[in-house]
Amino acid sequence: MQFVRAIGRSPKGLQACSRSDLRLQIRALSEIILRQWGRDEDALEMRSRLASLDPENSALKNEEFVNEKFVLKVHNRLFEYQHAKYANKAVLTAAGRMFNFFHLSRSLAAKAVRRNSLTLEDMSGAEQVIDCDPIAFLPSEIGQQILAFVNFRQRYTLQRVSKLWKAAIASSWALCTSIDFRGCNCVPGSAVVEAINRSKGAVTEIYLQDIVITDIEWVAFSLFHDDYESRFEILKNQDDQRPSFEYEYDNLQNVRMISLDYPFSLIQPFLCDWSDSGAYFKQISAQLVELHMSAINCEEFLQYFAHGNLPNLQILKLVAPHSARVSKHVSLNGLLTEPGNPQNQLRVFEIGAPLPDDDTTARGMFDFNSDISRLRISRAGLFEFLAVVPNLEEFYCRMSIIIDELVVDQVEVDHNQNDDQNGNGDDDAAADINAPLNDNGFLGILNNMQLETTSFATLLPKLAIFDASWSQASCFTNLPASCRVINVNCCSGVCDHTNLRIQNVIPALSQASYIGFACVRAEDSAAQILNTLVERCDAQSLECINLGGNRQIDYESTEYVSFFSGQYRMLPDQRARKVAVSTLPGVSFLEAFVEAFSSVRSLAIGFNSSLGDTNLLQLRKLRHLQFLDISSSRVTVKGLMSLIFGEEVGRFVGSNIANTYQGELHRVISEAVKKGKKLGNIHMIWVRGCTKIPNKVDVITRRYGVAVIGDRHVSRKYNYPLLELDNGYALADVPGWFVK
Amino acid sequence: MVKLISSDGETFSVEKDVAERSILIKNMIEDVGDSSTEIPIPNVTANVLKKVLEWCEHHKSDPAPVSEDDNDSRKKSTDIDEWDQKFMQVDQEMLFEIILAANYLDIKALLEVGCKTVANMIKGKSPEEIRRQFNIQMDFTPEEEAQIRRENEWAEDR
Repeated sequence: MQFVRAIGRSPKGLQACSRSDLRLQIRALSEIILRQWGRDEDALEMRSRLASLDPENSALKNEEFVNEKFVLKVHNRLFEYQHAKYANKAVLTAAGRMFNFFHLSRSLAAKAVRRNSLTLEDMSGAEQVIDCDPIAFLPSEIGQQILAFVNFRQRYTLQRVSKLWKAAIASSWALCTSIDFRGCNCVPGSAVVEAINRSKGAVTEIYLQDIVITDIEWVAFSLFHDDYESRFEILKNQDDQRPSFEYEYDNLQNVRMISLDYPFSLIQPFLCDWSDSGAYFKQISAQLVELHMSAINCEEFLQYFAHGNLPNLQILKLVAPHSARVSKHVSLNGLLTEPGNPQNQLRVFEIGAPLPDDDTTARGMFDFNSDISRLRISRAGLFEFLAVVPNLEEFYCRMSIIIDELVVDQVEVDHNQNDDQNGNGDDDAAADINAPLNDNGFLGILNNMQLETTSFATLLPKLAIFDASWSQASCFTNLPASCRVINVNCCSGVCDHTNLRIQNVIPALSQASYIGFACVRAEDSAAQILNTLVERCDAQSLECINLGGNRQIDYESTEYVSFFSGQYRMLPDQRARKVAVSTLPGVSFLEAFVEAFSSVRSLAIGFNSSLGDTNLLQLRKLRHLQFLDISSSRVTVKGLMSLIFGEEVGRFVGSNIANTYQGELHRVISEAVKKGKKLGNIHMIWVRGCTKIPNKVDVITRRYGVAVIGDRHVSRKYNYPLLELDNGYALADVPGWFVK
Repeated sequence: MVKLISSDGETFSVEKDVAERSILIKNMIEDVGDSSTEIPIPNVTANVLKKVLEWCEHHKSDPAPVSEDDNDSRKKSTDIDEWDQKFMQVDQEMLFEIILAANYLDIKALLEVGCKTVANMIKGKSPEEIRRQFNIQMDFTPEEEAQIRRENEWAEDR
């Protein structure tokens, strides 16, 4: 645990720590550089210079040791990596460590000065250059410009740095084009108003997203009432209880984008009071290009929109429109009511309930029948709407259920509520289905669903991104060939009895780069889906395909958990050619797969108990593989050995190999150590879910430079400190160094 | 070719379109009307000018920035392209010198890259870390600091 201890110290502790600790520190940093930056020239240079800083190194030169410039250079570089595309938390942590290191090296440098009578001028000269306050050093207008690039929220906290900084921040607001409160929990309304007013009209974007405006919300909650609408009504009529929330319109004249997104912030009625002629929002609605809203009264808003009040709107996102408590379905017909007001400017339209967060998804804890989890849209309204937005390029219809006339009838029968045969599928019908649907209701809907012949390709010729995940894919037939991203993940998760056949859903895929087909529970077998997809796709453009969680056999609810918990990938990494095919059947699938995707770089077939040694050898044909996850497979040591140490090893085994549940990998590694073999080009091994940890991980990590990454389970069992990474957990701050 | 003379007397010969990335130089060339005259750059030393010209050389074919009305393109993203990132991997003194030179020579894009680089050094750090990094003396009284902290409590990290 030496390394961990040495690194984990507080700055204060570090000041006093010994030279041998410094040595550990330097080695740790050197290792991080190797891991994070690879072996490029810079990294080599860094490492060699770090080695020369090592106090135990006999070749230590004092002038190098006190070269804080160099330390700062390392430090800066770490921070630059924070913003580079491949940054991750390990680098951030390392950067934080570097602070300590910097200070440590200074105190040791001071000792070196005393010991070797380096002149103090040398030192102070170095400090002057390094420890320079940019705000003090640079002209004030440049200082302001720098601060304008710093995150909006952080600027508030940085006022504490010094008087100079406080003043510079105060004048930097005038350069502020974006008022962005994202990441704050609670914001006082006065802060919002102040931010708007002091921007002096420069602001173009406002994000009031995921926050609670404290003073207004307080009033709202004090009038607690179960029903959203009546609460709103009460509030509207009690002007004396309503805090003033006034800003000067002139300061908003350049606003083009407003995000008032989720959660159900009660501020929205005040900003977006459609019926009130004096509403704040109305003054700027004509100039808006982009608008994100949630928890609004969708019908009212769409009426407002339909009257041509948002003539320049190109991007409209309505997540969870209407209160969660209201189970009424949403009609998009409002968009159509005014002839002469075609909303043909829209390029991006999103409507739907919020997606369940990853954690919920992972645990399979979604509740399809609760009102909040689903948005119901009138099908007739949807298609009519689509007919007037020919320029639509992105259409997101997540977590929604399309309700049409047939369905309404069916539901009425099921619930014996109403025998009104109104089939318009709009407001009247909506009232009829206010009662929540139970399982039978859903099945009734789905069994009666006829595949619509209306063609998306004709309606939306420019569509590039189509996302109907957690929705009812069978409604969306004939997507245009221009679609680049097609996401119908979990589409039939709710629709157990839908006859989802891939041929019906997506006839044209020629330009797709991402296809999400996870957990669709299609009737087609996974191999069939894959074949169809591959047939229709241009191999050049396809970057990611997600077939996780599909298989032919039925699964019980307990398995839901396991198949979701691992290999569920929603989005592709940059340019990675990824495939997730958890729980797919074995040999026949793999053959088809390997043939079709010979250039795949990332493959997750986790939780596939049918994957055995024989099948594993198929993977040796994948010559570009860099990531392989074969968790929970029935692979023996022998099989793994042949995979890892086979002749072709250098060609295909990549950076990550996830282990099986049975912990077989440790034997492979022990074996490898015994034989003194190299682990191909594996840089990282996950032992996720592993029940046994290889004994000689330290040897492996040191000798072969392989990092071992574990998970919570491993951490608990072995009492290793756990560090959260982007895609898993490292067992210690420096991957692999959890030696005793 | 244009001849530029740094403050410490070194002469640099660069192509006209490279030198004209600097609006200051561009205007000077226009004013003089003769691109063969030597242009003194009294505020920039040779080692800094060399760096700046290296940047201009690499970016000489970039599209000219749309004047003034580029508020949208000046979005507050602190992404820096890879070449520029590498270019800015210099010690802090040089970084500041480059920023000052870019400001003086009126090279907007370079100034922006410089500011972003400094902003990235600030990003995500607490006031305490900032003070430590830049060796800034805190000149608030504890009461003043507590007051500012209270006012902006909502903005502190969760």
